[in-house]
Amino acid sequence: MIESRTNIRNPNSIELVNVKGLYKKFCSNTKYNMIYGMHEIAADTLSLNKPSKTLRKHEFWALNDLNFSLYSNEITALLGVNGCGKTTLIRMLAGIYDTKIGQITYNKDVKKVCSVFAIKSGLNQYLTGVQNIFLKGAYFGMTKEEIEEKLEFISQLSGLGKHLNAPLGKYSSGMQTRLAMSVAMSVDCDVLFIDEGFSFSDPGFKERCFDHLRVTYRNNHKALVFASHHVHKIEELASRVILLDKGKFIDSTYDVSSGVEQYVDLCR
Amino acid sequence: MPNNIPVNQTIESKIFLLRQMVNMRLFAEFKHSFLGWAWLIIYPLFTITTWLFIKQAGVINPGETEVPYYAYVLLGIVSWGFFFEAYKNCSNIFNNYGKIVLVNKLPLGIIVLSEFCVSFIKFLIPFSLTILFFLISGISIHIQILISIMPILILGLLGTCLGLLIGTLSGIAKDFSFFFDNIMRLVMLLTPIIYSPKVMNGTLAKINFYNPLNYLINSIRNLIFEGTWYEFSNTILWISLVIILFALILRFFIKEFPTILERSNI
Repeated sequence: MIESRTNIRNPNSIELVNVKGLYKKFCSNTKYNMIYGMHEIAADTLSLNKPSKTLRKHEFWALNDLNFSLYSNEITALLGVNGCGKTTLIRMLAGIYDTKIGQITYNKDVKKVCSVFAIKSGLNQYLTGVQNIFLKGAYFGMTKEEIEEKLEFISQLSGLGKHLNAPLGKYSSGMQTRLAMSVAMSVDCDVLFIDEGFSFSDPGFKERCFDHLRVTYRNNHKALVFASHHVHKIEELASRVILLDKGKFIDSTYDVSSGVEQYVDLCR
Repeated sequence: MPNNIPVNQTIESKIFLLRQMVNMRLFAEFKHSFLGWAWLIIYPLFTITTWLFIKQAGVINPGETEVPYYAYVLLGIVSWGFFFEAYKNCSNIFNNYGKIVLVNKLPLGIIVLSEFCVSFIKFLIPFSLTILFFLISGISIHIQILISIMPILILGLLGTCLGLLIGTLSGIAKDFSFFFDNIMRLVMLLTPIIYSPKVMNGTLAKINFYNPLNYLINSIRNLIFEGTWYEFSNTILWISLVIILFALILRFFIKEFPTILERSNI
């Protein structure tokens, strides 16, 4: 089921996240990276660190002056070629990386933000599927009671049924992905970030996930942001496209097809 | 202006996360064994048996001790084990949790607390067995053993804060962990763990005057066997310094963790 989409922003949606003048620089040389790191730690400790927009030797901008907002009831696809800064941006939005230059402001009504990166990360091969659900749920900030409430949903969505009592080491790679993704889908958050999370091949599971994401994030004053290279998935799910190139903001459009075309042009 | 990225964890979810992490760190590795968590008890039994064997063989002359040497050394080794386990666990936080923290914004204080709890539980089992063994062997235990929990916890805090400091710095450059892991071996030999402080003289005595492990480990032993502190004023001074140091290093670790995460090649 694909809901009808318009090429303009829903006037009833509200701003959930505002990004202003956001920069992030990295260093491409290991030795210099260590020297800059030690310098930064020393300066931080002595409260002498002043974030600078000047690049030092071997440094480059991973993100360069990003300004945009994310709105409720929107599913935003973050597009760009490899190395354009999608993962870095999501990590900064999720609070995993520090923001030294720029500002990320969340609406006060946003209580919970979740991010999904390497989806199988944090799973334990010796624990059973159910034990891993509790472990992964705890990483996502869920309480025991919340996870117990969602067990049935996770079992249904993952389609793992009786396998849930077997050790994870006995699962195939696809089954592990289904389990971890189902836990992520069960988290009740206001803004969800997914970085390359739809690389699984099971079409039935993919359809169940997409249905769940559409129902949850196109309503209820929530927002979903996902990064993907799969053009058909983007067109299937997104209501808005944000395009990045070499760390810079290129375009934001509610015309998803046009956004995807721009992305394909960038890839050529 | 600071960012206002929402904190995902409530107090209930933090407590649950702590339980899950401690549970995983303690028991997950034993799932693939017949004896399971019983290994947590078998390991220290091996240590006790080894020192009993050394006692029988009479191959070491450790200096004058008020209690049987094997009891003295067993307690020293168990105490050192707590310090070293806390150091090792905390210095490896980047290796053990770096990838998880890169994908989930976890409360860093809970990670540190879980590593401390794991070290403490792993200490409590051999400690209890050792005390039980002393009682069976007829070695009297002083009621001040209840007070010894204080230097014991401080010993763990010292290991934790040194581990956090070295772990943080080695997130940038591995040289720190290569260097300090070797230093720890030297510290173990220098600290009066398997010998009595009474045999210390010259340089060794000078080094141990500035060694907090000397005061903490000897105080634990003295409180348990004799009911007295070892050099009370110096021990209390070091306890205070360790608490201050821990607060400063924990703050440093939490503040610098994202910076290191960006720069480490995890």
